[in-house]
Amino acid sequence: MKKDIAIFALFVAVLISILCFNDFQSVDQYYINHIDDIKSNSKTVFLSIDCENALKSNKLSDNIRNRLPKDGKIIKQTEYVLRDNDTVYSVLLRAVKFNKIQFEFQGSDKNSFNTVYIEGINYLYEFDCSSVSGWMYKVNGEFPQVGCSNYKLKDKDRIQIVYSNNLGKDLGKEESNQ
Amino acid sequence: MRSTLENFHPITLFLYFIAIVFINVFTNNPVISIISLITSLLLCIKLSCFKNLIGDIVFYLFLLILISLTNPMFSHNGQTILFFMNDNPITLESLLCGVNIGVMIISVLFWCNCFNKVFGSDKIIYLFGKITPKLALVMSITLHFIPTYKSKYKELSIAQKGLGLYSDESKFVHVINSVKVFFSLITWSIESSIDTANSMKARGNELKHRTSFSIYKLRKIDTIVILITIIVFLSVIINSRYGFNSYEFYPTMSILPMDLFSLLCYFGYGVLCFLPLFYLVKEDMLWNYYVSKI
Repeated sequence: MKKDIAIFALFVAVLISILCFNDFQSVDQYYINHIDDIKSNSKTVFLSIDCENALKSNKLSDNIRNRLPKDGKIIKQTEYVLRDNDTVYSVLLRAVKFNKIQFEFQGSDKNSFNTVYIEGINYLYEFDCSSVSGWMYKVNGEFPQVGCSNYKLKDKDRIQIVYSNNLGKDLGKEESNQ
Repeated sequence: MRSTLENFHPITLFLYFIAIVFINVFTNNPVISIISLITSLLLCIKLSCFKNLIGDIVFYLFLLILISLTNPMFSHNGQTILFFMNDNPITLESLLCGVNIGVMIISVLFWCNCFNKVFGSDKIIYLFGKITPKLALVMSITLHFIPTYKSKYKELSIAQKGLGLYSDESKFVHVINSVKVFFSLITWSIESSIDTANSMKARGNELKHRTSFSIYKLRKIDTIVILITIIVFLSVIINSRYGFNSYEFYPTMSILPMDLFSLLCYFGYGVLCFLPLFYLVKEDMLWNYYVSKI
């Protein structure tokens, strides 16, 4: 009988640890209605989300195409307040929560690069247009060589989240000499 | 009890089950999954009595719940958001997609259960004996192991019960004891497999020009079943190729396709799935009719 109680306690402990180590939020808690106000002395960055290339591809299914904006600009270039220790990922997450856009990512603990990987924005996912398509990001017009949760931002940086059909070659990314 | 399905030609049975499982796995239409689940369950009950199946059904239900809860943990696509977990959405669509996958897997398991009951080792040797003799032998031996181990496990646990292994009241101790019995089963199986290998060698298994005997005739009803299988299989595959019965879960669940071609698909698949049940019921009625005449 004592062993039964021990097993039951173990089961409860596992359940509680699942509840504690994961962060659960309701829909209202996740989306934010108010974003930091831009004051005269506050640092800011610019962010835009763009999927023009996906719309050009003929492999995209109509089901997803109908959900994308006609001009491909999911978020037009907007100014956001830069907080301390902000990365591209944290600014993007705040913007997406504020604009109530669907967003899925792979957490930094899930891959070997220790950085967040963007899987899909606004129902447009990696591999939707070809086997080498997916989301990439530019800062001030250049593709950084680190993941989006490791790139520390500076004042007046211009972030572009862009969809590529071909590993960034269609966005003007030069092939790296490795 | 032998069922009348065993009288069919091996090729017929093999083609039939392959077609059913193939269609079920490669179309993600919920209607086809549900048809497959219901008919496979009914056929299983018809082939073996319901009492023996209860344990299996409980296990499969557990499996269904596990699969449907696992899918939303990894796939976060979908419009109807239930809640957020670590900033990723848990959606209704991925939950229902998981349920669909679970139903599909369970119905395939039920079909395999039926296949096992109908398709004996002699049929396997007949089908694959000439193409790959070794593989056919290994397959027939492994299929034979499952019922052997089941009965041996029962024997061992009854013997242990007689020795007083299960006298403790705790459920936890019961589990540990059954693990002990399982280990002794494994020891026994390793020993017996060496015995089998020795015995087969002594009987000349590795000799050349070894033949196997079997009498299977392609009857009229076999050709009819093969024709129906091929027609339904091709029509469903061609229909799915042109996107008639396609169904998508992401980003929102699409409406069930109910146009003429899709309805024909469902009807054809339903007829194919009901075929063995229909045949068994017909044979039962015929038997009862003849008995009543005596």
